[in-house]
Amino acid sequence: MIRLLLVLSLLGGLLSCQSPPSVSRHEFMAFGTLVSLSFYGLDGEAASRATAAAMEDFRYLHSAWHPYEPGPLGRVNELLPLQGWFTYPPSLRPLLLRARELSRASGGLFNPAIGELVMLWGFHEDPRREGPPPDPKAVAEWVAAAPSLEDVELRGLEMRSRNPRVRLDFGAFAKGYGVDRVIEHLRELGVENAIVNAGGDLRAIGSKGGAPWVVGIRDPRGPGVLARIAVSGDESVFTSGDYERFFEYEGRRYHHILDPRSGYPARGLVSVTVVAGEGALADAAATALMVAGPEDWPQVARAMGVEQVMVIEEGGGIQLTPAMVRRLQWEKPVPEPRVRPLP
Amino acid sequence: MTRRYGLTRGDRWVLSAALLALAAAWAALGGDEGGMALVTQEGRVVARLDLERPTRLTVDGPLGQTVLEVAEGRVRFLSSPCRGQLCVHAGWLSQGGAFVACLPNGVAVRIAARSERYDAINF
Repeated sequence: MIRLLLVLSLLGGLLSCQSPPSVSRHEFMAFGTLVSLSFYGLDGEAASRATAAAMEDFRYLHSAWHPYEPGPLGRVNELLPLQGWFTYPPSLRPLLLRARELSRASGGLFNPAIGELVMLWGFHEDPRREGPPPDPKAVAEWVAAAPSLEDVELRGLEMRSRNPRVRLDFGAFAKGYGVDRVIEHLRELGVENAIVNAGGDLRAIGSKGGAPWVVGIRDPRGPGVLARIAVSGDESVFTSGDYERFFEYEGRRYHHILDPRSGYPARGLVSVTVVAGEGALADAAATALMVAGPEDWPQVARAMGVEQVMVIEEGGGIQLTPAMVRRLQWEKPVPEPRVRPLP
Repeated sequence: MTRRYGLTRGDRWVLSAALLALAAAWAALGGDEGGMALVTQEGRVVARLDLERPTRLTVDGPLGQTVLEVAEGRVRFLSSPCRGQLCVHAGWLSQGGAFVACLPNGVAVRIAARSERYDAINF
């Protein structure tokens, strides 16, 4: 009987090994989206403190960087068309500098000076006011004026625009930049193992007690999860897709990722998923590659320095970089992906 | 004391108690598939739905009423007052960790399995 008890207690031990690890999850609304934080091995009090810090950061960044509401960036946008020098809030400087680097690397496909075009399309309002797409003449005029961050001069804490059509909208990378700042803050608070997921775009640090974090990439056109990817150490997974914001008018669908070369929504791709260390880079690259389209995206990925990419074409085809092939595990049957080495 | 297979009556008693405990533990832990949907409104948990019990739930939000439907171990947004209808188009959720939110109306649904398949969902 003692032998039997011993065997049973061993069995019990095995069962307890399967018990769920100590991951706690916390959710709140911020940044115009649902933010979800996961912590491994953090006690209740520390997790609440970290969550409160993250919530405060996201809410502050949202108001500071909102391009169309009164606030630091909103005020900058009021002053830019006047084309004179003015003092801008110091907190915007690192954001502006990083945005300019990424915009240059993307060959202007990631263009944070796109605010006026966003307003022409009505995507600055959430939800968008119902109505037709903008007058093609107005779109053509914007494209001809070609506002970009190259038109913005910085002189210490002063700035001016040489192009009256410049209106800053960091929407295509603010989420990534914000997630980076929150991760930085969490690390300062001693958090080593966490996921910060802002509306589906995330950065994960550390691990789950040695096991990697498992991220499911949602199928952009069907239900459920398309693929899974194990991340550990410090990695960001960002996806841009035509399904995130769009409207339909007279049977045509118009989404919110605008191509600054045409002034119209980018065509050819449904979604782009980028895995990179820095959230801001992954976010900006996902947008730029969406704009680059199904043939040209590898050149832009190379120029921006991202190696792990999955793109989904309008027809359902999947393209992957060789580095991404090694990372993904499919969760449903998919057509044979086309592997695109970076040039 | 009768002996069969070298087990005493005490052995058999311990064994059957252990088997019962094992069955209970298995049922409680569940499989990979989710067993419960967590419904939140503006980040606050408003309901926990047992996916094995077909039902409908109406959640009030700033835009109006969102209706959720549970059937055959799955849950979906049946109707929503939002304009985009992304939540409704997302279809059925069943896997642990799966998550859909209707941001305009502030309603989110997450499948909370005992052993979640994903730590996060990217979209």
